Amino acid sequence: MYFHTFTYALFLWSAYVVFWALRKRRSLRHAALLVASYWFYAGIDPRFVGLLAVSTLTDFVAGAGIARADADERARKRYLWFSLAVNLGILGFFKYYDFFAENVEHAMRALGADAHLWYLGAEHGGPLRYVVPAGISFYTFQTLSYTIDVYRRRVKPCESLLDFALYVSFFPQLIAGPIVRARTFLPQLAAEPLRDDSDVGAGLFQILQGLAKKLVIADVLGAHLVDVVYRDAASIQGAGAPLFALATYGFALQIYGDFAGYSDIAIGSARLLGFRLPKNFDAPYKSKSLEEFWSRWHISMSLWFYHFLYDALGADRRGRARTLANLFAVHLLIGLWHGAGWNFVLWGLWFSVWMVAVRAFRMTALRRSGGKMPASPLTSALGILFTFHVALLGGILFRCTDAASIRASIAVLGDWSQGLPALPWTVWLAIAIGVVSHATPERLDRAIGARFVALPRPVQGAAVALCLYAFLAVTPDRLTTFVYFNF
Amino acid sequence: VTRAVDVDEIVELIEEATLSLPGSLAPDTDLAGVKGLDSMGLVSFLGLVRDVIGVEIAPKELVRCRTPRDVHAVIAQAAAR
Repeated sequence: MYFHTFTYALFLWSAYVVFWALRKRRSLRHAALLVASYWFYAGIDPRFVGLLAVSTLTDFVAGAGIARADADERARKRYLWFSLAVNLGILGFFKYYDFFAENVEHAMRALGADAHLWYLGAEHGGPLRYVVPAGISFYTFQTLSYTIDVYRRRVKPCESLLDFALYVSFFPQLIAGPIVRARTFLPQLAAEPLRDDSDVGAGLFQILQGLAKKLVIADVLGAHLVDVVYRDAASIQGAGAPLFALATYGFALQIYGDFAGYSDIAIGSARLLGFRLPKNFDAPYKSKSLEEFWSRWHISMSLWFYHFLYDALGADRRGRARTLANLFAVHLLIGLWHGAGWNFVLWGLWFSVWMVAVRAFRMTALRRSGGKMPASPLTSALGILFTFHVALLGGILFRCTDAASIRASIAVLGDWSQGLPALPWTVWLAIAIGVVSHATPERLDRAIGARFVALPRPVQGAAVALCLYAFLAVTPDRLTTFVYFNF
Repeated sequence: VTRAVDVDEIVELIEEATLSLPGSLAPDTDLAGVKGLDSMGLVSFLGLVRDVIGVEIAPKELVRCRTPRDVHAVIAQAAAR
């Protein structure tokens, strides 16, 4: 069940009606939402519903165990390791095992050994089709954050299995985030939901923004430009440099529209049910530095790595060399988190190298200038251009799934013999909207949202219908999934 | 739900958000010298303020803050709105 379908609209409306009908009956309300969330998950891939339940039970038990152990540090650590082993074990097995086995097999063959390893995926002769359970990277990180926060005494353990299961599986953000920490979500479950009419308007407005990003920016650019050029090495090679460059800029907007669109729909859906989820994207291509980019792009994942990995490695507290090594390791793992493939490893490596280079440069410049860095409109503009193009070129590695395509991407940049072919007008519209969405000041965006919220309900309904009609007129006919569903 | 906080709690939140060691900051520490107070530290801090205190503040509201005590004053003012 995808967010941009009529089935989801019907599902969300049903969940809304049932949830608010049970407003005064807490357990029943949460139970209904839990059933809806598992139903939603089963609608995407029913085979892995059990894994979601295992992950939930593991961290519920681990959190309770850590709290019970109280002053017994060894017991507390045992529960933490139990959670890490189960969650990362499941994630590692389903997401990375085939990648690992394939590379071991290649290495052994290169050494002359005739190796035949067992595989999970059907494409290698294994038992399962589409082996990566939907949303596994997201809900695994979410449940882990709970256990680590309980271990660090930053959140009290959840006493209700029902509430905890709902925290892990809450359908708007189950498949692709935002990754929500327990102290953001559990207090909202504890309080009786307040029915606020402005939440409905604000939720609908954010869902509309998300649908615009997905249907008008991401899907149009994907169908008419990016997926055509990036289909394989031959299509990249045949595109010529101008079209390839346009497709690469297009991909930057496509991936933003796809994922930020998903996040908007998730946050808007949650808002209709009275829940507030944190912002996940904040005009990332306006970032003046790479550090700022990661604080604007997939914010909940960046913060997870920042709080739970970078911090555990010592952050910037152990000297210059260790700080740089920590930055390198974190960004490499962010790459690998996105998928089991060498392109994601290279993508992570790309950011690792740039992050380390920029941080080392800044450390040296700060030392020489006595702690002050010059800032001017020119340095800001150069910073935005530099950061955007690091992300853009990294996008080539993200998009190309094989080495031949990456090689073709480099080779095609020398081919300026062809001009741009005629492209559908919707491509230019999508690019324009993508650029405008970044250039719009936040206060204007909020003002438009506030105007929408203030409209009478029938006018809101008419505006929603009109927008949907316009989106559907522009978007391609075929239904596309969200890119981040694969992670 | 918004709740009142004292300046020591703000110091702890800044320490957590900037990955500083507990006890390494004080109410009158100069924030310009806090290494982790970059864009990620700021986003993290604003998220903690939202989750723990129940107050939404914009980054620009903190521009003039020099110490955690100043930050506390801004948050107290925002909570009273």
